[in-house]
Amino acid sequence: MAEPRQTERYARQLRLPEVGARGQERLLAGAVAISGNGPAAEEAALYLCAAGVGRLLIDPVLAARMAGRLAELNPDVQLVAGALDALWVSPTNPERRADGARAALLALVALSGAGPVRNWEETPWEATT
Amino acid sequence: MNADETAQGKRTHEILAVPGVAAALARHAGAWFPKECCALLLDGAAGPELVLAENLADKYHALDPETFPRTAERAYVLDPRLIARAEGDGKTLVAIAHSHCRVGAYFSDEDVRAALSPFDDGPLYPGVDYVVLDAQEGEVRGYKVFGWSVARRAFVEV
Repeated sequence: MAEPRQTERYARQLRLPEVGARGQERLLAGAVAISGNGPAAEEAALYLCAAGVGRLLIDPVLAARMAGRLAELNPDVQLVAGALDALWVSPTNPERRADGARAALLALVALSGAGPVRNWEETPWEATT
Repeated sequence: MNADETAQGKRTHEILAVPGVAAALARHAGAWFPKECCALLLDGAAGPELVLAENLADKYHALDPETFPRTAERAYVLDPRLIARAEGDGKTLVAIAHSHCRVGAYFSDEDVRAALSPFDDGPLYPGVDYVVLDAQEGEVRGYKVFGWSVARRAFVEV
């Protein structure tokens, strides 16, 4: 099957004044981290992938389950999963992993170029999911 | 004119030649003057249809002047739901019409920018023509139809 034109893929969004070309470019340049690997995370991944969010940081379990489907849905989107898994493990206690929203936040911080957050266990911010 | 350009504008000219359609479009442009009007030409099972739309440019400009620097005097913003609704009803979008006030009927750089995909892969609405009306003080002097030329990779009068 021929590769659909990008214009076709994002036609509905491009035609919305609120999104348009500028908004779509920002979406493609953006990154979203999804916490968890349940049905809500799965649904979020599908919608964000279809919208053309450039990079999706997802739980490795979710990636294993959905990578093929997401790539087929939108090959523009880059999945970041395994590479960030190590960042989510506590540097002081390998048994402990960040989870939920904290993991998503750590992944986004790492992706932003600020580097891994080494002291995440000491941060006052608490995961809410 | 290339064959693809002739094919491109054919249905739009046919619809505009239907008695009453061009006159209704001209009245719409006159009513909106000195602001630009906008409208859709559709084709459906029941025949061609003219949808006179509201120009939302002023509303968007008021909300976000950075993204929408032009007011309705120099730009038009169509409600995309009109197109989505028409397509949902099984109709085909044939052309998007808008008026130019006091400057003549031509396809401006801004018109080209708005009609092209940001991905450099052609028009945002493939196969859809653009009708530009020449609105002047007290009269609408006519219109021109523009369509995408595959051969020239540009919008040309058709």
